[in-house]
Amino acid sequence: MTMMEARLSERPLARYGRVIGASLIAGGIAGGVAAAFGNRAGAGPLIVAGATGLAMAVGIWVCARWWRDLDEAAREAHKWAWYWGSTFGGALGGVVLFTLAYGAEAFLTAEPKDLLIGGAAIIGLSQMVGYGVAWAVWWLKRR
Amino acid sequence: MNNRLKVLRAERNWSQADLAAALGVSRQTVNALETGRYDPSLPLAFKIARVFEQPIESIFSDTGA
Repeated sequence: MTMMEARLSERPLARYGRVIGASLIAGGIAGGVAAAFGNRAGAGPLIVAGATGLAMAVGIWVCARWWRDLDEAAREAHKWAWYWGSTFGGALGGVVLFTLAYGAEAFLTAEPKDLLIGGAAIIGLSQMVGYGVAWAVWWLKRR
Repeated sequence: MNNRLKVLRAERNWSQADLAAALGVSRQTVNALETGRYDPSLPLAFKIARVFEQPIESIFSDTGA
């Protein structure tokens, strides 16, 4: 074959795993900085904002590089998963969130900060799970 | 949409990985194309036509036509 071109989208799962790994490391560092400096008076919130902003920037940069090398079918799978998987996951997370908010006594005594982060985590995690399931469904239907 | 990708590839003794490399896509994408469960974009369809040196209409056919 003469038209050999650079292989794009090789080992998509491994590439996706590296993106998730890099994002988790960046998020973990930001979380560590937040835990260490977040409660300090004065510059604490600013340090958290800076660390979180840097982690988000790293995550977006990694995602942009990864997205650039995806082929069109892989992009379509992620777009479909983003729309349907994240929507269904978020909806399910919303049911869990409201059920916990009105059904679990422990939440009535929780700190506002914990409630805020916990609620966001429930929705975010639900969306990620939905995204992963929808992505797998897209590819399984096209095997 | 139907296509003759699998036949054309077999005629040339190419593996899915060979065709994927020529098209610059993943082997999974080639598989999805061959099974007819993913329709390529127009740029990719033209690229496929160039790789096989055939007109697009001899490779792809519209099932709704």
